Amino acid sequence: MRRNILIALVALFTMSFVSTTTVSEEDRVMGVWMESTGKAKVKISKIGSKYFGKIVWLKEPTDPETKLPKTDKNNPNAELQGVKLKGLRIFKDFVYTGDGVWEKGTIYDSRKGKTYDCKITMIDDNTLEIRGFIGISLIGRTDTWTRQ
Amino acid sequence: MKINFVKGLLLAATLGVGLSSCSVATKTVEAEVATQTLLFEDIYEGGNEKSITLNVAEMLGDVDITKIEGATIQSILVSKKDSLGLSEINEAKVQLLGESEDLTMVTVGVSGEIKEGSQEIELSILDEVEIAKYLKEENVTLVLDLTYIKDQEVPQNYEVGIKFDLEMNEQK
Repeated sequence: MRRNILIALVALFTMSFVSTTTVSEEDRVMGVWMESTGKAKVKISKIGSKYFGKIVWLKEPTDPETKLPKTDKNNPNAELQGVKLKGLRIFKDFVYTGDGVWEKGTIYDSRKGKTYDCKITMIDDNTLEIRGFIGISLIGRTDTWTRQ
Repeated sequence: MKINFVKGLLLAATLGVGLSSCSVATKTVEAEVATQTLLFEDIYEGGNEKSITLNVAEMLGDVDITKIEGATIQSILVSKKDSLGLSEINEAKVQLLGESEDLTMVTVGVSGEIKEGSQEIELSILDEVEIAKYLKEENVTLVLDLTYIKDQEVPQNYEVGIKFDLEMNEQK
């Protein structure tokens, strides 16, 4: 009897531990990811019901011309050109649409100062396929990011 | 010929009176949101964020939300009232996020240089950011981004004060 109670308690403890550590399907995208060139790391987090990603690390954080931290100098909005690249939110407004895909969001390319529609597909727990496109998903560019 | 001219004048006058009686009278009112406190924890060097979701009706108090025709941000003040003040950060930004999928995150204010020793900073408001549609939702999320100079072990409290300019429909 006492042994059964002990087993039940252990099972209960194990179940509660598993339930608190399991990440939901849609939240699996959260974390720090590195782009394929190795020049930047982006942290994806959730605000409200949507997913966003901001630059948290740059291989070359300093502007060689100004010797100051790099800023978003190519932004088409002059008021935002002084914003620092480190900390810049480049993934915006993604929603989970199922089957390891996050859509309806945008990706901002600070090198060109352009924003593209974007689709994120999780290939496996450590690999993301990031597809930026204009209008339709068929015409665009895909990059592979790895979890850090 | 003269009769046609008079008819034309009468028609124009009638249209003018008709259009003016249909146009919506608006007035601009200022709405100040109660200061929001945001607690930053697990702070690392670089960009950190904290968000708070506010009920729009409660946030705007006496304002009749159904009569909002247009809205812009008048001012945003970010402050930290302790001895360190804002010395640990070098950039602050404020974004708004709506509830529906159609309402994307919009940047409304960014800081310039943060002066050493200052305890508060008024953000530069981005021109032409129309936010009325965000205020017509039940809830709106305020996102404060702070760029830290280095990691911080102690949680930090920041206060955000926002004033809106609301263009209100006066038609009853």
